[in-house]
Amino acid sequence: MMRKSYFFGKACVLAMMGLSILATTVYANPHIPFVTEVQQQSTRVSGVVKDNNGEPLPGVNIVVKGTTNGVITDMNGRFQLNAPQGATLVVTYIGYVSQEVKAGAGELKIKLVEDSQTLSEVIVTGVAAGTPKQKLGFSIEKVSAEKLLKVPATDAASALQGKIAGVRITKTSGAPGSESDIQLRGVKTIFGSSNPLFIVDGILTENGLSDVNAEDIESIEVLKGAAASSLYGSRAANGVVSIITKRGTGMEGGKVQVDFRTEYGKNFLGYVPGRSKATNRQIKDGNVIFGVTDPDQVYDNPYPKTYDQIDQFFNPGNYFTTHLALKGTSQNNKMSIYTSIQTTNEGGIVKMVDGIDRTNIRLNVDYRIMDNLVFSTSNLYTRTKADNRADGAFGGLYRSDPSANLLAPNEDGSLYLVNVNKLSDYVNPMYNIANSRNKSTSEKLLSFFSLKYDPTDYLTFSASYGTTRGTGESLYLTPKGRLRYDLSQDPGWISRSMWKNTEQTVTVDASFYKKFGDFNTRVKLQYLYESSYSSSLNSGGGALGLGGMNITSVNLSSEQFAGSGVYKSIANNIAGMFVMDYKDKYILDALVRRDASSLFGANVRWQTFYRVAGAWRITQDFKIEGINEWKLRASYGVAGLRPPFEAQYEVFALQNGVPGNMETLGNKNLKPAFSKETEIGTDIRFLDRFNFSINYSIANNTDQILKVPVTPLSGAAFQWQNAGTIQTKVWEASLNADIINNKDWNWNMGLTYDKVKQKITKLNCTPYMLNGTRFRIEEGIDFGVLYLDKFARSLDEVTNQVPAGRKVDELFALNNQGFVVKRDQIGTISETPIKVKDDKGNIVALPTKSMTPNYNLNLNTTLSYKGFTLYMLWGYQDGGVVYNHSVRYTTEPKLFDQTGKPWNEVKAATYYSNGGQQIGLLGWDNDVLLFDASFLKLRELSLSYDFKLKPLQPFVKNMRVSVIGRNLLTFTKYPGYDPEGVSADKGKGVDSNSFRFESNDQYPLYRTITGSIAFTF
Amino acid sequence: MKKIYTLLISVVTLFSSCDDLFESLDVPNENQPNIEDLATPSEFYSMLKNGYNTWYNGSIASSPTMAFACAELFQTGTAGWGSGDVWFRPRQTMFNDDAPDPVIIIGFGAWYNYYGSVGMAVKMAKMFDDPGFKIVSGGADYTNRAKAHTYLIEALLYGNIALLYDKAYLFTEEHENAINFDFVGNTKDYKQVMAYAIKKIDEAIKLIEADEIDKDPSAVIAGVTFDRATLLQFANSMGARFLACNPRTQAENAQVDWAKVKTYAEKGLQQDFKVAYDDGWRGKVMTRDYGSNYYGQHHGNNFRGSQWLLSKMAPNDPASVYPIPVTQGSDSFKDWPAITNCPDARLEKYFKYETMRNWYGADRTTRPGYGTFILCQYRYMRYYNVVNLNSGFIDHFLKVENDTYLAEALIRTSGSKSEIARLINNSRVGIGQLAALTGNESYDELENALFYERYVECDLVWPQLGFYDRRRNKDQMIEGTVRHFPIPGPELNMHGQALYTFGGIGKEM
Repeated sequence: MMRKSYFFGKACVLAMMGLSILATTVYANPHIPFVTEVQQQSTRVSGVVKDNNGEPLPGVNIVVKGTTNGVITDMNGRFQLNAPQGATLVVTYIGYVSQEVKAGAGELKIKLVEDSQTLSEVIVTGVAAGTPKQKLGFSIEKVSAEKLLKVPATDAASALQGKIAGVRITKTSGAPGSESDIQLRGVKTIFGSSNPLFIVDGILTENGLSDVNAEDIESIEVLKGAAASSLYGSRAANGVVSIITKRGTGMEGGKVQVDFRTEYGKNFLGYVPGRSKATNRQIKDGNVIFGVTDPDQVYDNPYPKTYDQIDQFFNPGNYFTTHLALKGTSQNNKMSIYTSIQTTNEGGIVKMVDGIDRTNIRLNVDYRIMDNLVFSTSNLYTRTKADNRADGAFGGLYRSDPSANLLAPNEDGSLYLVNVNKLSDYVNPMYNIANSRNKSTSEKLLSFFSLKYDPTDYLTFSASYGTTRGTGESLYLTPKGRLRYDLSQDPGWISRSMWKNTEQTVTVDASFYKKFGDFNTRVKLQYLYESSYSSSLNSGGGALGLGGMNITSVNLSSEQFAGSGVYKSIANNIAGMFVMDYKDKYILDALVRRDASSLFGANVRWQTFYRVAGAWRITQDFKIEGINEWKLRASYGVAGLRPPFEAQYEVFALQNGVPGNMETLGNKNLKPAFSKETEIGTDIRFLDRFNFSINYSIANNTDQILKVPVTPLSGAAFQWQNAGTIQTKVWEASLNADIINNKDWNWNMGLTYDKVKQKITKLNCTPYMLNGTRFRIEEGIDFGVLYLDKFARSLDEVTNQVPAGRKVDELFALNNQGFVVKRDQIGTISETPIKVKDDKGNIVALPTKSMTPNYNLNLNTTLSYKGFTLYMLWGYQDGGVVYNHSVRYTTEPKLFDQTGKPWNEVKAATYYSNGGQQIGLLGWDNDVLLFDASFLKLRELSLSYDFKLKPLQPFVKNMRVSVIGRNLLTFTKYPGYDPEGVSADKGKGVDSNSFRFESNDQYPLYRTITGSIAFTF
Repeated sequence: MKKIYTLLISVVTLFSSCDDLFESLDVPNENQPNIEDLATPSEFYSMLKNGYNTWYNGSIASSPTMAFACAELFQTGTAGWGSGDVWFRPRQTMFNDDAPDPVIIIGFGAWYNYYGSVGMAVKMAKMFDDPGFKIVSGGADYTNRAKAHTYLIEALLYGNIALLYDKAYLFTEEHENAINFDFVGNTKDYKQVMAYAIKKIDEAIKLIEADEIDKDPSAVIAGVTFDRATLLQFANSMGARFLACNPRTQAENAQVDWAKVKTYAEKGLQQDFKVAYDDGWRGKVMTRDYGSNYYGQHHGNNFRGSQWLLSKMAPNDPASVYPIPVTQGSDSFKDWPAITNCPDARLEKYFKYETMRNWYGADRTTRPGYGTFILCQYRYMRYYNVVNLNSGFIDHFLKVENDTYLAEALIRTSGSKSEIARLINNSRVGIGQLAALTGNESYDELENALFYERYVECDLVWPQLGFYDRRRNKDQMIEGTVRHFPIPGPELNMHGQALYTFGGIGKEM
């Protein structure tokens, strides 16, 4: 097998190279008949077609006027054709104003102007070649740099927030530099991440987007459906997000442009959950007697003094970023360069913790070796340093007594009293931050190299190599002698870890473009090789030989451990694509891809993915008053998701050289999961200023890869199986309007809407709870519904808890909060809500509300008056719930505070306690802790002014000053930090977009307010 | 043209340098051995170690041990893993259904742990059906020794399952595989399952006795490399433990084959059986919660001593009163005084006085389900240093435990009182420095003294023993306490069997 793959891959590359060499030779040799077969009465005309920004336009129709003699431009916007001397060429391209140009000697340079009456975006991801959006049979969204840079996001994922319908983005943590989870059109997989495939300048990467800075992005293309993403086969069921960064190719020869931007501001915390200002401990002489509970156990004894621990703990950290970019094209137009450097410091919101420092360096080069041979490369180097001491500190903060002064000194005068808490034995979190080290550094390189060769005007060959290389290390230190709660000295602990990963792709493809009469055709064949390798090594130990904060060597520990991991995958993929249209009206698109991945079981190595799509541009056949452009489209596509690395193998619990229990059985028949999606939609531009799109998609996501419980007799507790189907139905719509567009005033708005429904429609195993969570996997249930203990709210729900011969209302009653309680306990210290039980007496987990919102709306609006620009992005979520786990593990949350309540509404400690499954509102996971997560947010706001400084021109072309706010305002009834600031347990395969917890250990989302100044030279 | 050649050379160089391109799709999992790698003669001892590891980690794991606070030889302040159902007052009905996380259900962890290796043990035993399957190392033939180990592992797994659960699936070498196994038809009660475990112990003993091999070629348990004599002692002691501890009631205790217990115990351990506290040998609940074990719970002050036990050790000291009284509106009970009049030297040796101001359980006395019985001013420190240093040995089966089986067998069979007294005195006098028994006591008095020794000396070393002792002897646990666990609900559901459970007054078993 190895030989076959090896030689196949090498053969492809060599064949490509051979073909390139042969073709190059052919083209360069004038004696070869192919080239000299030219009509003597005609002349050879060549040229290049670019858009307003100087970007080449592929697929532009060039026809000799009055004839059917024509060609289409290649990937680089170039064309060649034979035309009579002095003939007129008609240049047409969807979305652009048609032009007529005279054929002449030398290379024609044609610049097409966007037609404001039509949509004009050109899509380059998932298609045979750059394709105008109007000619797509499926939905692909594109976000331009203009929209992205109104409020430059800290990373590429955040930049998408609220800008596209059907996209849900959740920060995995509020900590600076955290990754985001992105979900496109709901859930495609029950287990594991919903993150799409990320492509950065052609580099397929699983490394996330947190390192890619927004300032360098030219555009982002988002492929939400299986049809659109099927070119990426078994990696693309979750969709594709493709980042295209800026290049120098748009610059005229000999021109250079320099952009400099700097932004400085502060991070702030928004809403903070309250704490009780009263205790149920006795108070004597102005002091709390912590060990003695008041006989009534009611939290109504006001603390003599409480502290604003948020103020003590939090710190408005810096946000400071500087970006310098240079782009230009050589005078002979052969070489173009875009290069930039950006430094960012994001301090976060925790005192003493430095947050992250990130440096990004980019170099994109395009070099035209010959007229028909272009070499391109894109490179991003990123270095990130992070201070992670805030990890876990939030748990300590929430567990602190409301009356604890976190800034109080120790007896020896050192900072942060260790045992400041009296209600629990949690150490002062500020002491732990001050007396620990937890830092990490990482470096990453994304590089892409490609060669494109156009031997004729209808053939293009290309070969490319893309790679992501990352490496990093971390250090954690608890110094010897650090005090524990009981003031004993910790023997110390140190750990270090190092990791590296490499992803590589080799792509070889051949494209054929040809116009046959009124038919435009494109055929593309592609071979793609992928490899991924990652490894890690970690070690640590305790009982350190030396004290102090400067210890960095694990060798100083006496009880050492070490661990390692190696993960590798290989894939060979081939794809063929055929696209045809008739007079630009009727479009047909078909694609087949075959994937062989080492992650599939050995018995099912090759798998097939495909799409069929069609579109009809109605307004090309019928002129309709007020409708500028109207297209109907429909598609069906199949894309996949690969199993996790370990899924096909027998996996043992290895520890200290002992192969313990087998954790999972192997499965040689494990296939990828498939997303089989039907999408219909329409795009309309009307009244010269409105663009409206609507999509309906239904995806049957079959062969779900699930870690299914099996009888332990099989030797393992679980086996990965293709065990179910989840169906996702999505409505999404967007409306964009240029409301005002005149010399001084400009006002445009964009509105997006989406609604997602998802249901498990098939399950081939015993229903179960997902790997230690409250998420039930069972056929017929809505996905995203938590199964929780339920408090009874009517007497009917507790009739099965009444002994024979008794009546329900003899034993139970509804209390004044609407919960069923024992009648004889009302008003006593034992009063506690009763949970619903089954007939066997078990408290049962019952379905509650869905975490999936009813719908989402986003509104962006830009208003300009002369040099002023005001931009806002609002987000609204209707419905959906968040499970507030935090409040269960908060010492005396606000819920406890009974001061000021009428006597008959007061409840004792037991009522609210976290007393296991049977006792208390905060006991075991229950439905009282679910909260409506509806919100209205002002996500982004900027007010800018562009100065045209005449004295400095032309040296300074423009200066822009802005005031910027991110995550500024949230209106919600949710009682936690932020209904979007949720977390999920990645280790359990739970995606934070599907399952929304608020954990008391998580770093909350915060707001940022900054000012920026930008120059263009 | 020069540019083209330069470029092509660059490209060829680039691809040539990427020697890790175009590799095979047959990627091994370098992090894990596959079963095929282990199921060979050369790796057979690794599999044996795997089997013993599963048994041992399941035996000392925090779950289900935490539940055995119900036996009141130790106490806990948390209802972790749902253990509260078993030790809360009044006793609750145990949860037994599909659970969000099976690990957190007190009755599930041990089942999944032990059964995780049953299939493997049976598979290993079947390997010996092939006459050509030989385990040879250094010129010595370890085939029969390895076979004996395999049977012992089967016995340890099924023996512990029988001790804990009312019923189990008896999957043996007679069955083809777990996929087409008749779970319902092979659901056996704890007596039948224990009978099978005893049968496998007997087969193992027979093999060891008939074999000439003395020392194993490598350790099969952390810190333990058996030789012929110690392996035989270990097997016999386990036989005694299983038979003696299996009864659920006093009536069943009377029906035990005490003659057989006596035979086992007479050939049992003559020294303490200890296991090194190495990483990987510190307990595990199901396939998670590594390192969560009973000794760590004491070390972390999650468990405390039991006033019920201290009141037996120092019956004449008012500080040993059980339960410690609590006055509403005062927390002075947290400074409950130390015991000053304890005749048993082991109070000082194994326990440590420590204020309850650091015992979070002391703030829970008014919580429903907890109560004052969780109060104790002493911590159990016997293995504190081993856990603290992550180094050393933990006793698993004391010679004293074996002595008490022999003594109990003699009591139940009206054996020599002086021999009974001698056996009890080994620890009673030798360690506790209590007055020696003379042999003139009644059998009843001797039995009391015997169980006192087990409580103080043995039952906190392997804390399951306290539960087993108090379901079969005169010191019965409080009404409503479960006598054993049901088959876990997910298993019942998987095999189409009705859910059931135990716990609460009248539903103990």
